[in-house]
Amino acid sequence: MKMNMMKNTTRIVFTAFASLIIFAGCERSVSGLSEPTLTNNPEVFVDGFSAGLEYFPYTDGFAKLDAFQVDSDVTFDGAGSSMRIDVPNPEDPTGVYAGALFRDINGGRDLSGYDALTFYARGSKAARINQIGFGQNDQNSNYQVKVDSLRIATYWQKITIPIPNPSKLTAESGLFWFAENPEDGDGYSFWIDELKFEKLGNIAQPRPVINGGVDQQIVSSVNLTETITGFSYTSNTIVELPDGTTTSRDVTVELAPSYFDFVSSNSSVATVNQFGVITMVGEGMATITATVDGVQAEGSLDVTVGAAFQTAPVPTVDPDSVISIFSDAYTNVPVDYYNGFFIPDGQTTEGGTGFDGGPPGADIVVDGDGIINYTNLNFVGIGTFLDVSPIDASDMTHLHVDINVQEAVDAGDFIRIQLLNGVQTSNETSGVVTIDSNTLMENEWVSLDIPLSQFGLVDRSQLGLIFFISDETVSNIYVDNIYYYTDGSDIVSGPPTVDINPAPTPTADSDSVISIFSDTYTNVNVDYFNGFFEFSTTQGGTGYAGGPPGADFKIDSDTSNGVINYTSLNFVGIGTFQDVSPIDVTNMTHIHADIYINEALDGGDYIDLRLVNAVEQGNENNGNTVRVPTADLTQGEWTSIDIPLVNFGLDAYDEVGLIFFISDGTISDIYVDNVYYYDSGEVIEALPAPTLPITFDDSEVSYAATTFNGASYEVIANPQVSGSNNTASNVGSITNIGAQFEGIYFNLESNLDFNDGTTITMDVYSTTSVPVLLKIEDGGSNFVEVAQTHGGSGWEELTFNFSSSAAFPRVTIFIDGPGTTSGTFYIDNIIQQ
Amino acid sequence: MNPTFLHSFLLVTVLVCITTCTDNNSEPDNSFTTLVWSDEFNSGDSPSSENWIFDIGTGEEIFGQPGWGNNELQYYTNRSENIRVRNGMLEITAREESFQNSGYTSAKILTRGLEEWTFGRFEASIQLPFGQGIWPAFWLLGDDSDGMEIWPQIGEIDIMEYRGQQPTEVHGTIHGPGYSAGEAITDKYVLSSGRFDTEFHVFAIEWGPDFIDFYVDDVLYNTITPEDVGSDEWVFNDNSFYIILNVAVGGWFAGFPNDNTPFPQTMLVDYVRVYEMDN
Repeated sequence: MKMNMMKNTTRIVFTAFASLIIFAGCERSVSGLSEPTLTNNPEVFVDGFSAGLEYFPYTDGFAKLDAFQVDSDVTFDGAGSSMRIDVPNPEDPTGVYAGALFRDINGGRDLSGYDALTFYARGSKAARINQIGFGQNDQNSNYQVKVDSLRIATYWQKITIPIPNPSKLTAESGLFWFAENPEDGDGYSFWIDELKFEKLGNIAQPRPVINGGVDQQIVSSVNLTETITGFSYTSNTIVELPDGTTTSRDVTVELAPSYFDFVSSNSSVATVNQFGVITMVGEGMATITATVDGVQAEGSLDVTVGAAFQTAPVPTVDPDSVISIFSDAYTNVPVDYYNGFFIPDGQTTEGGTGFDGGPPGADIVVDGDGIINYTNLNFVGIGTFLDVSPIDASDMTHLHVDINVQEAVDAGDFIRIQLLNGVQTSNETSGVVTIDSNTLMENEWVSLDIPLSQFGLVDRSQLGLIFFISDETVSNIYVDNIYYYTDGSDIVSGPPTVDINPAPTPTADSDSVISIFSDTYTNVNVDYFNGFFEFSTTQGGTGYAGGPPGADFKIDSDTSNGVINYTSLNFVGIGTFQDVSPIDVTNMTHIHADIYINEALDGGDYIDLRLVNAVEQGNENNGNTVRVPTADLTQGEWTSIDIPLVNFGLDAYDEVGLIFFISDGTISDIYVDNVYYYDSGEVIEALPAPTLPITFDDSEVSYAATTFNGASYEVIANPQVSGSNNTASNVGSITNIGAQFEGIYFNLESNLDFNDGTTITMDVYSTTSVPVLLKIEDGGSNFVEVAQTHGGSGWEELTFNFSSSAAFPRVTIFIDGPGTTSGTFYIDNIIQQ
Repeated sequence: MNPTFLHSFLLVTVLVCITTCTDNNSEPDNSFTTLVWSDEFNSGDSPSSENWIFDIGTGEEIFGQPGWGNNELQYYTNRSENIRVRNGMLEITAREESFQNSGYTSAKILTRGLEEWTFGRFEASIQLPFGQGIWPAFWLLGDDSDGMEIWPQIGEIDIMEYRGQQPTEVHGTIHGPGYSAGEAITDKYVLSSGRFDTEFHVFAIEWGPDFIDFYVDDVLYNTITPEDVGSDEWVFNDNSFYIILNVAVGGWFAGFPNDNTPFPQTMLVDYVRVYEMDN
């Protein structure tokens, strides 16, 4: 453990020096003087406790409280006693290090007439005392001085710790302190004797340093503060050697900022106080430098101050209605941390760590307003479950948080807020609310008041973590005013609700239904309502704590009615093949789904459905994609979809394991309800697959095609009655997204046999010159193919001459297969000559 | 200033000196009351050419070896960065900089050929610089009769030498034939309070026939007589001597500067005065 200097101390009074305390009373000022004159007694511990000195071991729970003893056996001069410090072994149950301060309890001493603290030290073995010095006490340590890693030997040596600027020490009660770990993993003892302040008169060559000796340029804003660090002070002391000669030694101490006199070159731009805190007061430039007792310190800060920083709106909610996590407007509850640094979980987020002397968690303070600045954000948690009580927000209605994004907000950026209740208990539950890019603003505060009901937590009496999750979409944010509050409305306990109309209540007879997701029927068991497949961006379908599987919300007006809310939809699968039985829909005729479009629709938007039979088995069968086009959908309304199962073209329907909803990002936010198979009672014959010629005009043939690598396909009326296809009839429409080797294929009802003719003609419509590849294949490794170039003049008849006698069941068409031409093309009249 | 050899033997001569010096600390009978020469450094920007000449370079031109034969690191210049007169003081400043293939620059001035003396009180008030490897000196060197005689036959009296890392100690030394370099006759003076690098102190010798008394702040701390050089020749009764002030960097006497040596380092000289011995 790297110890910290803990200022929590406990007072341990030694009976051995109780009489000295009484004696100390004699040194107090004569009555009648208005100001008591502090003693200038230089002695700290010469042959025993000096008047007023007391021992305060650190009470951080790690320091050995009885590490200090008065020792009359081992002394420097054979007289009186010395201070013995017993550094414990690391596994010592009474403490793992020795650390204490020795304070004058009579109001301090005037040490301004001395220039050093000196003492003799020796160890039971050669060692380095981690930290040792003076100027530390419980009230303030404004004049703390520290030597790091002080070497001691096994014989007595005189140690000199210079006072950087003695004129500051007119009332110092921190006379001595130290903190020492075991040495190389072992405890040991060291002794201090003849501990006193002295006027040596030969300490010189002061070399004060601020900011680590660096001349640094920083950019800031009006009302912001910056705190100077990196203080040190090197001076030269005279060392008398045993042979009577002398030498000198540089001693470097770390010292508190108040030893310095700070100067701003332009106090209308920046001011600096005795603690090295720079406050930006106006736009412009200023240089901050410092001196110690008139000696210029190495290092400086050049601040360039810009316009005032905008703080978050000051909260106005009545403090009685608030449980505050992080706000200067309220008294905050105790918090374990504002950044849990879950590094093993891949967290990259910095910030929320505050700074010395600042409010907890506040990385920036503007005009007294502390602000968290999370950077490199992917996710970060604020914890209230380790050493503090979890938060009971049962009586609260909202979570408030102010967020200011410090970068451009792009489409797709989000910050997801997750609340965890009962962290690390068997009842741990969580709920999320996603703040999308439409809400977030660059360089502006956005005040969020999120109804707690949206998090869907059944119990929020033990809230232990708040997560901010951006998955790196947003990396740099300011956060302020995190608090729960109640707006006085009834507490909505239970599920999150959404204010949309319910989907039409299904009317199919429950005996003829196999239901996947519906409150009208008894649903079969499913593995999941969102498989979160690779490349899927889709959120939702994860349900809420205590709710029915998959239901992200209840309908506001009908809280018995659960709905799925898929967001960031590109594709999502509902699985019934892993831990549950695949569904046998052989006796069903249709699949039904109600879809609510929660956004504006564009012309090319669609929802595709696809079924997969025998998932992950040798005979896995994907079937056809069945499209619900834009024209069939309406923003802000439910669309009931009923698709004959035969349209999916599966080889079998006895083990359906996946239902896919696919939008390819054209539609991103939908609600889904009432997903079920049913038997309409009709006998629906599957339309036969085509054979050549393919004209797209035979109503007794299914012209369903399978698309791949991005292409999409539909049958439409010929929109360009001209050229080689000068008839009003149906045509096939292929839309390329511009990916390589995208295209479509038809599985034929029977093999195309080249013995019946080796030439195939096809009308193709294109307004750009593209190669068209016609490939006749078995779907495996056997194929023949011919490419022809389209001239780009509209409808053209292309002729493909195959020198083959093979017979294959599949016709595959690539428009600009090797290239990346995007756009819509039409095909018609695929004829074997 | 030892131009050639090994101060690592210094300790031997110190011990020799301790046994002899104590006998000679009686109050001298001679007095030195008539000021015959001085430089108070109260005018001009640089040392007066009537009083001083510059030694430019590494010392090679005089002793045939760079670094004054002591492995010194500086290059002496007459630039104002290294030597100037200001506020009534002569400032000789050693700097860490690359110059003429040396890593440090400094300055050295002499009265050679302008004023030279035999006997007298030679004193200077100086605040010394600080730091490991800094080697300032106030010293006298005997005339070489246009090269007819060579060191150490010409004689050398080091009124003050000092190591920057020992800011409470100065050394007074004579060199002559048979007692030069590591076998020079020397003693040191240690301040009981204060330091040489934070305040002015007066360094002086009072030199007459068959004696040289060494003073710091009018405290006589060593007297050297022909008895101390034994059978070797006492070369301080006939030759004329000139004054030298310089700040060396590095060398065998003070060792070498390190990362903790602060630069620049300046020796401040308030005055140099010469009194003749009263008859």
